[in-house]
Amino acid sequence: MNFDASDDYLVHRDRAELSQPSASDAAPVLQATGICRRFGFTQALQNASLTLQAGEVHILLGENGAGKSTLAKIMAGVYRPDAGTLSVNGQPVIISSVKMARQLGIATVFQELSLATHLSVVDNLFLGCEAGRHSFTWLNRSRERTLARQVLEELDIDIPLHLPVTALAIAEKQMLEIAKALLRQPRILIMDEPTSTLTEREKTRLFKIVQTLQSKGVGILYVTHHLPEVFELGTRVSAMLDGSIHHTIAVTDTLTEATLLEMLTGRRISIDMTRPAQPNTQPIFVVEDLHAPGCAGVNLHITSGEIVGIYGVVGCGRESLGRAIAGLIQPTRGTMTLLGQDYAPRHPQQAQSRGVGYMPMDRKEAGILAERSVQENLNLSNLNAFTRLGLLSDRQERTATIQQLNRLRVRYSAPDAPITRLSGGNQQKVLFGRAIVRAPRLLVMEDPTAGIDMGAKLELHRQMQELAERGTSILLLSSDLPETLMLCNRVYSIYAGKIVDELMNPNLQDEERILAAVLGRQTNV
Amino acid sequence: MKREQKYRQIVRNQSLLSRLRIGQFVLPLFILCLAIATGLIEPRFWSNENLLNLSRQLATLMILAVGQTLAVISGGLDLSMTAALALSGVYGVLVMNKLGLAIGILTMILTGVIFGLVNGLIITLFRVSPFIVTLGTASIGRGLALIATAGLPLYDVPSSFSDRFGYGMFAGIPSPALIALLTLVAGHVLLRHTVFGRYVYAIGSNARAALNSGVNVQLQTLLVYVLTGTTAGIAAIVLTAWVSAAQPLAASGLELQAIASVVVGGVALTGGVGSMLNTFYGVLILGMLSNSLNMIGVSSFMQTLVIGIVIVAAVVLDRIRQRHSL
Repeated sequence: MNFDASDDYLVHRDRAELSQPSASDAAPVLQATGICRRFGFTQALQNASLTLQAGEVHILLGENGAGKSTLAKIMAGVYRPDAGTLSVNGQPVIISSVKMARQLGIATVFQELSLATHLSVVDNLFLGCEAGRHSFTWLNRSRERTLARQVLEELDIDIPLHLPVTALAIAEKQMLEIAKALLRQPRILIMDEPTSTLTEREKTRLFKIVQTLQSKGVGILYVTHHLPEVFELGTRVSAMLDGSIHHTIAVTDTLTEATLLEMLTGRRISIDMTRPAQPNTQPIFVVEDLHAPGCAGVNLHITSGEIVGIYGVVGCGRESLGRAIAGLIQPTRGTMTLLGQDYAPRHPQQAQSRGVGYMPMDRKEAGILAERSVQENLNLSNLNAFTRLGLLSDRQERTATIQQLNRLRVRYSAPDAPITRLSGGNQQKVLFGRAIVRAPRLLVMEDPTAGIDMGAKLELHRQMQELAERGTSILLLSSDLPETLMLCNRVYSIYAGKIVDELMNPNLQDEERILAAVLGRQTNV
Repeated sequence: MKREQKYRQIVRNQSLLSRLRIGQFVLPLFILCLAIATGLIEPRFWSNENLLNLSRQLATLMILAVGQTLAVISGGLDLSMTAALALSGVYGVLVMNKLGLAIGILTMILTGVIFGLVNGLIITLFRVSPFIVTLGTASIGRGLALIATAGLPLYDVPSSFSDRFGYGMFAGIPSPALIALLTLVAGHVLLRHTVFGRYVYAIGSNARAALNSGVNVQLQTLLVYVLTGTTAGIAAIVLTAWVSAAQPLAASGLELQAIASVVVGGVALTGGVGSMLNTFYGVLILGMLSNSLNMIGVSSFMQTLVIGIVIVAAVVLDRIRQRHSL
């Protein structure tokens, strides 16, 4: 409910020695001051300030959910800030739409691809800025094609202009997205994790383009969580933590990855969480050499009553691993073993009947039935418990529901009130109840506390620990590193579809090691 | 324990409140006003004869609407229901004349079931939109019916069949109306009191969430279309008996009226919301409206216009109401 509670949870340590933004005389091409933005219960940005000079590549680093993308989207006119000011070339501006951002010379390459998949390459390049401005002006096809060919050549991409975007590979789409931004000849270019889907070859090309633009005086804000890119491209680098930018420093020869990692972490003091004693060592669930889209040979095991975390950045294969265990996708290779028996669910229903519960990420899209009641949402996986002669027993279901909601400490008005009347945290508790109602042996949880308030988050953590104490093994796929470190008996780091590190009894001091692993740095461990 | 009692109390109050919500009174009130107004202008509206006639007229639409409600709540649609009806009627009468009444009736229902099964299999196995699939199978069904009868209506319906199911009375209720009511009640029980019904709501509300929660979305969706086909088969019995003919082009356009009455009753086309009671009101409104306009002496051209306006108005009003309740 009150985000301020987080201050008791995460205490910011002063690190004055790091914050030395290089002074510059010229007015920055883009300046953001004191930007705040809240989404529901989440304060995505809190007093974030950043300057972008002409001809610099300003790298914005941060963990998942630190607020990098939100800041980029505010600068691109996608979101409006709740508070704070933006100025372009020293002039204060209010960027109310993407179109307006474009008129100010700001172009953006978004993280989520924003292409119209059924339109052709050339149509996508000119989408929104077709040669003619009005809806019914005649489109100058040949001019469009010439311009498109030029920009694709510049990027060294060889794709037919008439091809529909659906026919392109993901990396080609990403390059097209970049081409689209270049076509606008921006003075300010915002790139939100542009390399996440690119291969080495395309990355090299992209970096060359970025450097060319830089030499032409374009100000480039480059959002990433890959440390090597800082050294390859950066003029300055800012670290984003919990919605604000604490440090901005120049990229010099003396800068090391260690310093960067220190900027990104080393600030949290946690309340102590007691972990259960080391559970017995006989694994109940084993994954061997699992291959699936995004997973390239994952090996892991989990014992009864153990909470095991798998941490990695977006696109590392974590999601696909969870979906394979839940029975939503079938692995192309490898085996899974549950309690000594082969486990290859073809459907979530089969996974459940084997005692595997699943709590997907993205509550709204994949979790709740928005039109239905709390009760119907809670019991969706367990309706057979309330049937007699094929009919649902209302009274039995209601009694069980009320008991279960109390046990989960859900704050609700009535079991048949719509679930959307509950706060995000309470909705999440209901979904947790749905996933555990059949007392699973293994529970797969994806980002269980994303976007919920601190009170509900702690409550959910407590309930997860209780569940583990009763013998359920929990596989936690969370983007929240401190949460993973505090809850888990063991943490696997995953990078590019492979487990790259394993850590027993982690604590918050291990943050650097894990971040280094999931950001692709070779560990000597 | 005290806490539990408190919750119970809250529960009771809440459900009482939700029962008293004004939105749920609008439709019955509208129906009542319509009936009273028509009765005042034309007292014959309340005559036994007209009411019995009205109930027979409504039966087919009601049965089709029950099936359609299931499809719409699951987030789908069945445009092939009346084609399945026509095909069931034609096949049923052909068989009836050779093998007798009981087997003929069975054929009608079975034709509907198989028709629905085919729809369901195509929709679930190939993940095609129900709109397009049933649009196509509607044409297939009509085509098969036309081929079977060489395009002509079959008038040789056994009189024992049409007497019993078309004009017969059972406990003072015309048998078409009785069959329609039984179908409605069965649909209500299925939707509200079975696991299947709960899954239908869940799939219509958020199919992805249902899948993640272990609901066999494919199987349940298949069942929905088997049931829409079944209701089409039941409707074929009633309509064939009542008009004493099996026509390959029977009831064309009625599938759209069934969708309209489901929506007018307040079932959301986006899925996940609604009940058989909504459908009951919707059918009553559309059916009574044309009956009333007839009684008052409004021309049939005018009737078409008025009914169209009512459909559009009902949907717009419902949307406005939803926006305010949020």
